[in-house]
Amino acid sequence: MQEIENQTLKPVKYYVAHDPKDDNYSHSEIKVKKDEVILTKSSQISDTAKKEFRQTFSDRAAIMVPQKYENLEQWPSSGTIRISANISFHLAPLP
Amino acid sequence: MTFDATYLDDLTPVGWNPERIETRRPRPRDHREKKASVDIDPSYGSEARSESGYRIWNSPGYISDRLYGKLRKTLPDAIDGTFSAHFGKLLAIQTDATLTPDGADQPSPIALGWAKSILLHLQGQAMLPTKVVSSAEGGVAICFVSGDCYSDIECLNEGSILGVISNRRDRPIVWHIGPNQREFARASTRIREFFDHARPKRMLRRDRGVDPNFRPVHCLYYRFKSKILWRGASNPARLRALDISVNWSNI
Repeated sequence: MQEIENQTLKPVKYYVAHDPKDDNYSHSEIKVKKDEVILTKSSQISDTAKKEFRQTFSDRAAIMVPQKYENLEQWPSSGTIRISANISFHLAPLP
Repeated sequence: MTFDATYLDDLTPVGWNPERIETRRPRPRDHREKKASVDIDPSYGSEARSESGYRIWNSPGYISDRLYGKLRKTLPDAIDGTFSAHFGKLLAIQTDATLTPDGADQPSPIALGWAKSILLHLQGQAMLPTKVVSSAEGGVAICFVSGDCYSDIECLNEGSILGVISNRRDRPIVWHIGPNQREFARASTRIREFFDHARPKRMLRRDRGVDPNFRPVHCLYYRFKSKILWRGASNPARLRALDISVNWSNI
């Protein structure tokens, strides 16, 4: 668990929520919460918090390289990133 | 002078046999005019098929009657046991009015002809339909059913052909199929891919509730586009910051 918390303002919290679909039971979403209120608009999150989340997500992520592709240049237009499900962490607060 | 029939026998050429007289069809003055005037009739779809699966059309524009007759004798019957029931049902729909739903029009010869052509194509592709029924909209429907996945090809009375795929949850996808072999092949490929990529049962929700028990050993899988790759790693600037959809797995 990683905490990046600003002491002066209230932080936002990123967490994983299970959101099953009819044809995809394992579907989940990484959601954002502030004061136990789920944020639904990107404008509600500060740019600093977004950057920190993106950097943290990228650092933790591992790109899954299929064996049939020897290097990234041979990849098709999409791929898969794997990241630990223990993604709950606090990031920079709203301004 | 009396008429002597034996006199005629003497005039008969040696080796002449009246049973070997071959009647030749008169050749039109301009055969191009005849070809241009041939009407495209879907009922021309023949049952002959080569071993490699190629269709042989009983059409004046594609093959001569003599060659077609020889091929019919040498080639095995294309309708095997699994498809014969569907061809029989198609024939029954044509003759038995009770198989048509109440209020629906009897399938027209055009619809029956296209349905037969599509069945022959599916036979070549080894795609066995689940059933062949008379459509409530007037025509013939060739149906495929597997679990929650449903698909059909509807040959309507006015001559149009529609393809339908549905997972019985989302809105069905309907598209128009052109009346030619290339469109039949495209439609059968689309239906085959639809059934091949059907979700396994373990991925279906089936009234299961939300499970919030994420553990550190569990992993999330995120599908990305190649544009987020940067120097062999993911580029943070390209990632979304809200409502990222991932798939949860315990491995």
